Amino acid sequence: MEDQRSADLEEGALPRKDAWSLWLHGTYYRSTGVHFFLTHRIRPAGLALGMVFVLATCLAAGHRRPAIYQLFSISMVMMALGVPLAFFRRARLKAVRQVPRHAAMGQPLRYFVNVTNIHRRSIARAWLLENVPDPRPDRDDFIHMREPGEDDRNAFDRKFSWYRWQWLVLRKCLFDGGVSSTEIRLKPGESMRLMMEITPRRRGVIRLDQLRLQLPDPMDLFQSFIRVQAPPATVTVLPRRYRLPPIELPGAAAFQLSGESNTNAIGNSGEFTGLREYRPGDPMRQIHWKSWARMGRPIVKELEDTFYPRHGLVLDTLSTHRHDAGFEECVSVAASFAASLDTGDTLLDLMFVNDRAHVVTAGRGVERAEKLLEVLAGVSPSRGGGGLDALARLVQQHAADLTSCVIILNGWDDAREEFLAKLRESRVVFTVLAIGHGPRPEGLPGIWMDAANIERALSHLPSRLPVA
Amino acid sequence: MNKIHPPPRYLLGSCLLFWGVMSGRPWIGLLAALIVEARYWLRLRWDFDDTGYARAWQLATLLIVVTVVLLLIEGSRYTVLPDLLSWIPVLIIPVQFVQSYGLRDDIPLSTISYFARRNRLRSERLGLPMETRSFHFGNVTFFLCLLAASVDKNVDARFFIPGLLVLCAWRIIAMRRCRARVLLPVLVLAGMGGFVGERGIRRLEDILVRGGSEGDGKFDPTFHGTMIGSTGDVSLSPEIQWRLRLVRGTAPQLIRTATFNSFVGTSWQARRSPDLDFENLENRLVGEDLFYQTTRSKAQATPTSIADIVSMTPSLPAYTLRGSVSVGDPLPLPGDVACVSGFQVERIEGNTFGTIRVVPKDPVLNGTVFWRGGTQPDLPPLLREDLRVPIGDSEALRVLVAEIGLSSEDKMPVTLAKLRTWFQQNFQYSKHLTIRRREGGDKVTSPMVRFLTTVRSGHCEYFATGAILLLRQAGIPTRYSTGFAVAEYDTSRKEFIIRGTHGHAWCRVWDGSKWLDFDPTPPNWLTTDFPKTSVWQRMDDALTRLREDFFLWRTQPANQLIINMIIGTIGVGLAGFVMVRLWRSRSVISHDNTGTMQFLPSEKTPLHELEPMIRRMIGPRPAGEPYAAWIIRATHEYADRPLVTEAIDLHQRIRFDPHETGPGARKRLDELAHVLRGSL
Repeated sequence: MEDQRSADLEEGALPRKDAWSLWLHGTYYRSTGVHFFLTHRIRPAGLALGMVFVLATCLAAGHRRPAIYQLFSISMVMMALGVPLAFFRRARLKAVRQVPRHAAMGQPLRYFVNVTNIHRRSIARAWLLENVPDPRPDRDDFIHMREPGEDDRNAFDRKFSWYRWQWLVLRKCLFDGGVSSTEIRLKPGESMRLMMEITPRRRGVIRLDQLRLQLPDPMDLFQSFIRVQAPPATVTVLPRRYRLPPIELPGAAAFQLSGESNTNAIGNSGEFTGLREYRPGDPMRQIHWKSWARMGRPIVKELEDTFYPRHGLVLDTLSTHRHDAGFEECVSVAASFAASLDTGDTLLDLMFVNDRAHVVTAGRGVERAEKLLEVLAGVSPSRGGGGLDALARLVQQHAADLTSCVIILNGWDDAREEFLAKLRESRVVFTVLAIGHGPRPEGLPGIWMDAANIERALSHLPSRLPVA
Repeated sequence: MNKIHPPPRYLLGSCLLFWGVMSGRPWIGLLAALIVEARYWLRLRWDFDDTGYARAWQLATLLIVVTVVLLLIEGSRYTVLPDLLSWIPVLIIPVQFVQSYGLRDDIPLSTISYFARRNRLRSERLGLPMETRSFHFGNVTFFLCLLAASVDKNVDARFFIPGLLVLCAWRIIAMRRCRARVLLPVLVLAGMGGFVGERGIRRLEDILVRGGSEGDGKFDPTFHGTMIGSTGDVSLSPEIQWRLRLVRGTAPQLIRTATFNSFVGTSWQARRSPDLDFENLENRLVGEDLFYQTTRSKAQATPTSIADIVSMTPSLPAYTLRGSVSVGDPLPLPGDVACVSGFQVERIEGNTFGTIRVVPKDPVLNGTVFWRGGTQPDLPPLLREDLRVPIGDSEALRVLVAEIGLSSEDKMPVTLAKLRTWFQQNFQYSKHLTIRRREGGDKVTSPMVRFLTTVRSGHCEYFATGAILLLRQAGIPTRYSTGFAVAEYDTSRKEFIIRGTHGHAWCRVWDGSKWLDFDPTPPNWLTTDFPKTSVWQRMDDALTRLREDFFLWRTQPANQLIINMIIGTIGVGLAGFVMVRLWRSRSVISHDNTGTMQFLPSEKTPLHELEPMIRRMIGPRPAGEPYAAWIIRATHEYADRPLVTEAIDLHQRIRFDPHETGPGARKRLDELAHVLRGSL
């Protein structure tokens, strides 16, 4: 795994084992753990009291002023009272989450939790917290990944890589929030329903399995942090989507045999055009019984073959950069197209390579657009160099069925130029949207979008996308 | 992460008032409280963005920096932190203002850090994930007010804890995270702990620092704790305490700050004098100079009037003395000082031991000292005290006196010469102290006896105390004086520098008619282990000189007007600029609707039927989120915006304005709801 990854990473310029980076990782890893431990047990008022205590200590050491001594003493006594009053509190709860199937990235997700007091004592002044799974990056990521724009930072920041650590933590952090605002007050055996709110930070599947109970002391300085028995729940966070202007995809209609190309109807099907007399061989299901009764001879319905345009949405999952910011935006753009295109009268094939080639179709009679979003929620970047070849083969296999393709490229380089050349050879009609950082590269046969301003770039898309 | 609630209404105003009352600035506290709490009565608001918050923070930082500079100029650097903290509620008012009158609930945390702000902008530019933390500045103001209320010198400590507890209880109960019946006993317990702790710390400090006697930490003319019996190194501050510039004659070798007559344990005390209390010195205005006579009439064998002394001053040796002082600090003066003049003080007072202290008008003093006028501020000795030696040490002292050959029958110069020679030949000066307070197994000997008989190594306090005990044993009244040695001369500035490291102790010996300064410490004490002047120290010296000289320059009447005009112009200009900017960008929020509420039956519309479906899609509607906003959030990806807008408009009209709604509205909404259901 490590070998493959290192080989795939850009330029291969990083040292294999960087003792300094290892030491930094260990230090940050431990200090973040301590920070997590403390911030989940010390309330903001406790933190402020701690600061007051430190200041009062400094002042009391050099100045003989009774009120400072009082402040020092009272803050020390409050802390001495608060710690045992918080940490000796006990409670046992059982909880069940009721979580919706989907959530949107960056949008608050609310769900209910039914809690039951299974302790022999009543419980009050307690609050639930949905704990975020450990977001600390592993050693490999810390050593090999690079924060976007890290090379522009000053030497000190580059040396200590604190901002890289922060970026990786935020990148791994699944959601924000998770604190219930409703106080739990339950007698033994009683139950209540609480609403929780989290805001997913990234797409994918979130497994909620760390429900905790906060039990603060009477002065709200410290709190104990107790695990709550609750079966885990999962929610799929759909990718971020942007609003698209009305878009007309390239390509023309073509006659196809066998009626609807995608329908779950058995036998002949199509749009009703009129009635005619029965001819031998007509299926029984096309007999129009009312007209036969009225006319006295068999009459059948005449149907016309219909054709639904079929578009391809090709996602380039190859990510060779040390950060995947561009890739995430590619997924978001693909999701925006998947959600915006009218799948009532069209078919949309999502094609991408993720370990192997995948095609997922949505549209009339097949799947809803939600299915594509679910699939996109789980797409991860592919590091292998052969991904584009596999993708080209996949598109070529379906070229005959496709009216047109929207190809979303993660950057622009020779490999992608070659990929487009192969598609041209297969006479696929396509339009290219390439996403990356910086100015538009030369030779790109399509639309270039800056990853930092995707929303703006998408809002300026022309209504007729240019054919590459 | 833990959510921080904003302070409840009127709590911040009460805190600011509490601070104002405790620190002796009630009107400033009231004004600050009005500024903060007027938001509840005024409709003026400002839509501050991140830049607005950052500017308010920068303004507060500027005020803090200016205050620090002023405090450094005006007072001691050691009191800068408490003095700054005692003003902090006023200095942070700009930030509290934008918090109170801004339209946002919280202030971004990046406001208070340039680097965090820069990093946030960078992340925005690159489209990177960010952790946006924000806080309510009212909480910061709350804690800073409580802290500031404790640090001022004028705080009445009796009311501090009750006030603190009331405000804390108010804050905690308002957060609705605790019930009063649980909280109050805990707070009362904490308050009692605060009172007991304060007493305990004071007592502990008295025992550890002052050998059990009570005091307030300032200069005490009745008590001087020594390092006799302590082990370790003697460490004194190398900072400049005073500067001495000759006007006429030579400089004194020793300048005294206090004199004591009773050796108790390991400390010196001034006691058992019938009139130890300080009295104001007699003064006379001659021309533009106010002269203070340092000698009280009781102290003189042949009383000399102030007029006589003033008339003698043109012929007396004189020097100017310049340095930083606070209320009650002693003036370092020669033992035979005649009078002083030119000091800007409220008063100068002296006691019968010759200790002179001042109540200054300004934190930097500058004046002229005249000496060798044949007068002394000390009263003649009190034989009972000035000849007392510790009973346990008398036997050893008697042997030593015999060994040295001291006798009260000899002439005083002979006696003192014998003693000085004995010390120089048999003792060694050292700042590294090794004599413990209790040592010697069954036979407990005092640290002084061990110094005089066996160890024979120590610093000036050992030498002065040893000499005093020996002279007293020989029948010569002697006292203990503390002060400074005048030893460092700055040739470039032509002035003597008195540093903390020049602090010294010596004896005042009564020769039958007057007190003589006698320094038994070997003369090499100033070169033994004397710290070299570092670059940092030279910078510190320069800053001290600059601070004191600038202060004296700016307090001269001719300069004061110009400086006040410049500062006033800048202040008014800055305030005017801010006011104009605020006035131009103000906005007015609408009145609260305080009219009579009209309760109507709740109207259900076809849009409500979508609720179960949407709940399954995006989760339940949170408390506080309007139904319309919830619908928009759920449908913005699936339905036409105009259609949703029309549906919500009809929904609102049917619910809240049913009289103005036409008959077709419900039917139309039914159709729209059907379409929406299909698109979802």
